Amino acid sequence: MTVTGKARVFVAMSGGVDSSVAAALLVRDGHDVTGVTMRLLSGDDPVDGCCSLDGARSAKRVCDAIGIPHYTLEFAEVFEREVIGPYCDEYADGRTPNPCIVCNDRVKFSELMRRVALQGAEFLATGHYARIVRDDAGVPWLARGADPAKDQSYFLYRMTQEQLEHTLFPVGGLTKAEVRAMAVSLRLPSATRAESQETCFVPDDDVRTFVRRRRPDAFTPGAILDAEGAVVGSHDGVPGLTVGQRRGLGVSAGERVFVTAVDASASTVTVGERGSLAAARLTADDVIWRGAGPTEQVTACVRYRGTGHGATARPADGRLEVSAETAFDSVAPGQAVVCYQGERVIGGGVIREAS
Amino acid sequence: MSDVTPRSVYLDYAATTPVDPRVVEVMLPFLTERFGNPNSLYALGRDGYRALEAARESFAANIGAANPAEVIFTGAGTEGDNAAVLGIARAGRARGKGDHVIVSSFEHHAILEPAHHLATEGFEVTELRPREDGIVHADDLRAVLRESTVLVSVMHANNELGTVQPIKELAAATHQVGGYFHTDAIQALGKVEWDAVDNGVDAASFSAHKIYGPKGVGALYLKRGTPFDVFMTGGGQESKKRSGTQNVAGATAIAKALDLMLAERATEGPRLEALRDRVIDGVLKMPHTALNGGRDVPRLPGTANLSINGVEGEAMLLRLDNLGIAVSTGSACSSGSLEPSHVLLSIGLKPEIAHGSLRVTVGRYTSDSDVDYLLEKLPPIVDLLRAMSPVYAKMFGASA
Repeated sequence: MTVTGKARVFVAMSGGVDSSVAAALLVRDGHDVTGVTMRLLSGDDPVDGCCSLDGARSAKRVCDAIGIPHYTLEFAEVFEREVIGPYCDEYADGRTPNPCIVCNDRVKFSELMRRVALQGAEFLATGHYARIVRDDAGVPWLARGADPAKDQSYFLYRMTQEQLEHTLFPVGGLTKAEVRAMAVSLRLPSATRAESQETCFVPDDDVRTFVRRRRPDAFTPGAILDAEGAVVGSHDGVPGLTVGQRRGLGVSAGERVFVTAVDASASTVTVGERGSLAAARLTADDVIWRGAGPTEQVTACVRYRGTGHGATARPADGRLEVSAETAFDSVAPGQAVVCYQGERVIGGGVIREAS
Repeated sequence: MSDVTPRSVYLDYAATTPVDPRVVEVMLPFLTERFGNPNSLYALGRDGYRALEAARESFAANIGAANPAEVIFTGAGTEGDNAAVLGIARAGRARGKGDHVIVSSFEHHAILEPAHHLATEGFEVTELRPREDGIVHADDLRAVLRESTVLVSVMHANNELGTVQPIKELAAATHQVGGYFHTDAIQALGKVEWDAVDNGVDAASFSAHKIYGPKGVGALYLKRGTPFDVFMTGGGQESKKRSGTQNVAGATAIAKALDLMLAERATEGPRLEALRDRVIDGVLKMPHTALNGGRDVPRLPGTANLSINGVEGEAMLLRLDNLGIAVSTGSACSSGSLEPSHVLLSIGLKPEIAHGSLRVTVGRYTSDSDVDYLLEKLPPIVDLLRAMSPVYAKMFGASA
């Protein structure tokens, strides 16, 4: 979105290079800019993740360097309630949640946006690689970032028109290489900082250990079955086992096997060949939809940076049915299906079933 | 820099204070030419030793200690609290005094955390709640004291509310069951009447940076004969009670800082009370506001804690900061947190009310015009936030 004149903008800063450059660009454009870092974790903060205290320190250094105020605000309570708790519950139910999507939806563009609005901010800016475009009627739409390799619109698909009206993505029109170069030329302290990791609150990306500590009840040992239902191995709990996963199953089979289904209630995991993962039809719930017709021709993505597939999307009764022209390699329930028309996101939902 | 605003008004003296130039003056020589280690035998060391002991004598006399040896210099108020709670409870139990510990539930975390730690060592820990007036009443303490109570720790003045506790009565009650009484006197030091012998306490912790001394300097009063497991071991300094080369400059500073507090208390106390009351009355003119803690109970002269319903503390604090005004919601140590202050919850405030608290503390360099500035800027912010805040609608929508 282009802003005319001087606006009061708060930038959500992780300490990383993208949000640092976003802040610097807003300052360069003459806006009244304040940096803000969400403190997402309480306690000993074992993770050097994107939003750790280390991140807050880095963000503060950047803000000092570009001459803007910076606040670290407490979000541990809301983050626990909205993101970490549901994340563990989803895994306990045998699904594969996407906490970045939930964080954007339930924390960043809701609670953080509310709190910066109380400070008189007209806009909340982030370092996401996504754009906001307006249609002929002036209505804002979320659109893909200019860098196809970094496009993060998948994580933002739940944004409403109201949220988009108050959001800026200053680096959305740039490539990652351009952002890095800009950070170096601006001498930003975070220019060479490492990329943030997989899931910011899970130490060492060890999902099973993390979920086990919070939901030990969900770790019921069970059988690993083949496509015919024969027992081919055992597991000590389904949380963290993901459809499409290959390694770490301990199943000795003549050919490489993949997880094809996870059933938390029966505590079974089904494995099969790669080909059996393919799915062209899926159903999603918790749907966000801005399409006008009974069905829409879309390009559907079922994972971050996944290849888009031409598809027909049909929203009905709060659910979304997507039929792709060619099958997706694998579809993990709990992840999002995001539907595009051209560059624009027209909606999506949380995948429940695929076939 | 952008953090520089047209005006800067500091109203958070309970968080910390600037070092008084007169304190800086007396401590500086010990950082430069008179740098000797007070434990060294040669002249430079003896000079440091004399200065350290002079500071100890002065400080001990000013807190009414019977003997200068009862004062141990520490590296922080928090250190004194930890050393006293852990050291007295452990040593007292070893002497057969029992394993029951009582702390008030609105203590600073520097008391609560070591108390929680004692629970992991097999102590039974009772958290005693103050009443709504912000006072721990002696009757309530008597009700939870036992023969096995080894230690009671109740702060002299609460850091968020400013309410002053009846420590003399509390200490006497504790002694009736043979227990030891410690008080965190960090906020009270130099601001209210303080005499260790008269108060009857067995231990008390103090800090320099709340009384216009430097950060990183504290003192622990430990009455002779009080059981004490040494917290910091090493070279055996401070009569083997606190190892580590003594901070001569810091000890000199805390002694001088207390001297100044006491010398000026007769005039400064009433001046601060008048400023504080202007803050209280000014805020209470706004609707849906309340003073936290009883108005007629003993209070520190400079501390006001107010609830401003329908407004989140964070939102208010940031907007005031934007105008150059430094105040606090809750204590400085936990104001990074949106969690309602444990102090305010302990006196019975509902979490949504505790969220909207504002602590204003005035001090040595606060002027009438500083209070004017706060009272000019705060009401429009409150009005604006209330208009914006859905909390306001939720809380008052039904009755309005």
